[in-house]
Amino acid sequence: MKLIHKFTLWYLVITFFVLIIGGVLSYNTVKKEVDREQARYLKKNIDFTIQELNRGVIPDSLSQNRITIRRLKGAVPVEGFLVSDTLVYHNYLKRMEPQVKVSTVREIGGEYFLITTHGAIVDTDDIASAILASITGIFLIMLVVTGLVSIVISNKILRPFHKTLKAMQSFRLKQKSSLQLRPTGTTEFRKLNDFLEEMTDKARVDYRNLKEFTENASHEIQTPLAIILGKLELLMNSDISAQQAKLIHEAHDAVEKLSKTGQSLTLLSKLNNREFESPELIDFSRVVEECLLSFEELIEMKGIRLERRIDNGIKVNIHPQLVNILLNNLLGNAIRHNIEGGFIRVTLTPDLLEITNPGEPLQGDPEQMFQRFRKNHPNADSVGLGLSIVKQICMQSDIVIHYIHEKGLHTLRLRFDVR
Amino acid sequence: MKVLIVEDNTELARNVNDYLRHEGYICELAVDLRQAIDKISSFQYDCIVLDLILPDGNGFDIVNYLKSLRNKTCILVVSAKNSLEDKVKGLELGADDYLTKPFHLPELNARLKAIYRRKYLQGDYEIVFNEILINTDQMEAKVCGVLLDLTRKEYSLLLYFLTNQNRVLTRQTIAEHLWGDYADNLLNFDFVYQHIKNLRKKIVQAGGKDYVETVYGLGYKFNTSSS
Repeated sequence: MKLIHKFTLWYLVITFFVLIIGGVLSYNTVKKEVDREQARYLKKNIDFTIQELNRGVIPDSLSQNRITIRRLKGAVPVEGFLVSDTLVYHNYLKRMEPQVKVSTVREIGGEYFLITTHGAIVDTDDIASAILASITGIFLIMLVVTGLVSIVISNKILRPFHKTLKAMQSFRLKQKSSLQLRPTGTTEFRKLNDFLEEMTDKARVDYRNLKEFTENASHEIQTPLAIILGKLELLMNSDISAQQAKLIHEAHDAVEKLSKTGQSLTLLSKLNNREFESPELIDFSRVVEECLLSFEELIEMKGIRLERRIDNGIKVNIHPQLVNILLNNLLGNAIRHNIEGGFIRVTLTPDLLEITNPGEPLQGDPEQMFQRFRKNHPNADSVGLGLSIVKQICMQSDIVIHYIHEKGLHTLRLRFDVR
Repeated sequence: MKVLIVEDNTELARNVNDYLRHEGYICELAVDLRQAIDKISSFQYDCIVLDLILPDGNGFDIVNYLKSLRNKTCILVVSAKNSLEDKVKGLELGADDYLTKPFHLPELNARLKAIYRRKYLQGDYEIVFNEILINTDQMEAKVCGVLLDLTRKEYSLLLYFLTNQNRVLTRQTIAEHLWGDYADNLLNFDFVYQHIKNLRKKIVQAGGKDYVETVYGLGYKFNTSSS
């Protein structure tokens, strides 16, 4: 629901209740005023009747439909009028109607008379319906006016806010220029814009710094490693003893490993820095098939049986470069941690990819398996970053990854379509 | 073959220089963009080994410069950036191959020779060593005139040995040459041993000499002087 619609709705709800209370209040006020006026009119009628009585008119001839005159026995000293409400049968409406009743007691010619009269200028019902009608009218006008005003406000006052929102949505960390927001006269929006400009600038600088750092680190580490590797290779071809050959070979292996670790760590930093944006809808089935094809020889050489059940045409939203790294790591692991004469089962359905292989039970907590430098064998040749990279790629591509160990089988299950 | 090595790191340049000179190449060095452009405009090179990150600019500028001259020199890009983007960009601009640092010197040599063959000899090239003959166009090898029944990997292995004669090749280097990035998943290099054993057997069966020798503790060597 849009902000302006929320405002409008709340405004209308509040107006509705205020109008109801206002209606009750005005009903009471109008009724009181009308009743007072009515009482005055009735008092005047009684005064007139008293005058007539004083002139010696016979009370019975004065007792019309609205005025009753009753002769009281004995002396009742009463002054003034008594105003009260009464219910009178209404001839036209065919029901009892509340009316005002005024009564008084007077001494005329030594006799006491009770004179009572009642009536209503306006019926209570009429007041109520008049007020209801006017309040409904007011509410309808409010509805229309509020609707129109909300459109105008949304277009005019909230325009800078909408502009800011749009600018934020199109903002990318990679962009070269800083976020430019249009100046606005509204204090809150100006504060918001200032804050956003500051934050996005900082985010952009951080992103660039980390990107430069990973690039530099990669270059500054890999170049010396290339030198060492080259020197060792040149040394290998010189006249050396078997003892020296062994030392050179060990150094050579260590340099290779260091280089691989550096590359993996750089990749992880890049992943953390979200440098692989803009995912594309990739034909996942095809990529899995291609990846299996490139691993085919290795799988065969290790005497591993490959069972595949791959549905066709499955599309996943993922960065094209990451999908290859992801699958290479997963399949590489399934081969590396397999057993003699084992198998790899690859299942791809519209919402999940499962890679299962038999292997030695995991040592330690499966939850920690995705952590950096976590290895099942401390002296294994692998770097121990493969699954951390897999985890990171999954997180960025909205894929949920689960590790399951059952009956000597390791399964990595990737669920797509979690959105 | 005349090679220009464009690399700001003199030690690394010297490694490449030492290795290639041993192969009988004539090598020259350029330490920055300016020097490289200078040399390219004055001399003709067959191949350029090009580092992308140079102190005074990007190596891609040299690729562009060569393009603008319609110069057909082979370009092997060497970069510390193991990024697909750079790889694709380099190849699109007109580089012939891309090698990531750190690289093996025998690999660099093999790549240089391969792009040289591809570009100047249109791939139709025969490498002859004594009784062994490799036709790189047909991707086949003969020993004493007998066609060898080699698998793809065995063929690549033989070609790799012949391009790096009398050089020690470690199992790791060979594995990376044959399997590329997938070599990490081999766990051990028994497979390299298997392939080499089969290759040697096939050569000897065809009447050839066994030139491949095991260098204890290191790997293998194609020894031209073996008796």
